[in-house]
Amino acid sequence: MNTKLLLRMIDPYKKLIFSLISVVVVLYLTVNFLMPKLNDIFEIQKQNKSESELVKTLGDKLSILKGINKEDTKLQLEKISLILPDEKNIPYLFTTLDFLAEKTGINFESIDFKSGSILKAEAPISRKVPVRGRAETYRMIEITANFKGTEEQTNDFLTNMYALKSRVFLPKRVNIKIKEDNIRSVNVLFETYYSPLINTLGDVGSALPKFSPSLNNILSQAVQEEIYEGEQGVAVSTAPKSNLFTY
Amino acid sequence: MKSINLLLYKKKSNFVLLKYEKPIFYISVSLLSLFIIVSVFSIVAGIIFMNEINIKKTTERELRNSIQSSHVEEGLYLALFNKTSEVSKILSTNPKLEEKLNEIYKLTGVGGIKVSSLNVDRDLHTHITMVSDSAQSLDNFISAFEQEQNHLSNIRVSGISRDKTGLYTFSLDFSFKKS
Repeated sequence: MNTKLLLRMIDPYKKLIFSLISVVVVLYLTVNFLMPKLNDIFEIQKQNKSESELVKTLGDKLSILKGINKEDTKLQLEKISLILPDEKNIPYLFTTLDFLAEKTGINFESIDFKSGSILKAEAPISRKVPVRGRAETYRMIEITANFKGTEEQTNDFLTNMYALKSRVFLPKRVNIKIKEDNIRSVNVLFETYYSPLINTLGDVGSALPKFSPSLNNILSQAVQEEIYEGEQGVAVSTAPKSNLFTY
Repeated sequence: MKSINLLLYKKKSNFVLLKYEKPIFYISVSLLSLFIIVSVFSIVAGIIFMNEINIKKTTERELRNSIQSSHVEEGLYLALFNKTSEVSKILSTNPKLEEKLNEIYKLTGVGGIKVSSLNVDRDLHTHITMVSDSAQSLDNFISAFEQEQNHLSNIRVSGISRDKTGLYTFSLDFSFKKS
């Protein structure tokens, strides 16, 4: 009787009750199930996007790598390594300066290197502080030289120092004394550089840097130029000897 | 029984929500439909995205394997790039002192004056020592040099002296304005 009565009492409201219950159920399901699922889908979409970017990066990287001609790249690397060697290479420094002197006609009176540590790949001065907003990774050796020459010869020498025809040198300070016979006595403080090769390749997924037009210019100039390679040193015996004061 | 029915009927007509019964019903049906549509959409989208991710992961693995097998080329490329960019950085710090020396020669190449020494550094600070046998030549030179204010700065006479032979020694400091 009670149930029947209750049903009869509810009967006129059944549409309203159904509506209200369905609103409550939908809200409950939305908050507890649909919203977390939608969040998951957004996450998946984000992951999908980053995966697309990664695949694109890897594809670009692979296409660059596939386009590399090993022999050509080796040759380019050898050429650019003559301009910026991997080590200090002191004998090559001397022969390069002699080469420049011979080419321009100047006469060296003295050359003084601040080569620092005995380690061939270790620099006395490593420019780690950013210069003009960029962090430098190359290392440098300071050289002080005294030489004599005419105005033309001294200017030629200073120009040829960074002409990418030999190991690169940059003048830091030039002091010129002009003699009676128009011969210049020059004291120049300059820097030369070297940069050890990279040891690690980094992550497989990392993008390869691209050559800008200015880098391409330098590279093509280096490849076209006949860069001074320095003379091969003659092997000297380091066998023990009884008299220290002889060769 | 009749009285109860009457009572209910009366109550029904008075119950405020009953006035909005129809709109509430439509809203609930709409919400339900929307919920179903969004649920279905989310399931379909989830499946599609997951499939895409799986395909991309497979491609990624293949690409990674190919890249790993080209590690020699990668090493060569990176070494070449690093060296070239470092050469570029080095050259960008070049003050081109020989060009400045030429400018100094032009500025000081006037009659009655002889340059005995000059010093230029990377920051383009310049110190020149000149000699002359006439004070008038020095004065003319200084007047001419004043015209160069537009591309030189901090022009300063650091000393003028005369020795017993009557020879004037004159030192000048200035900086080139960086272009």
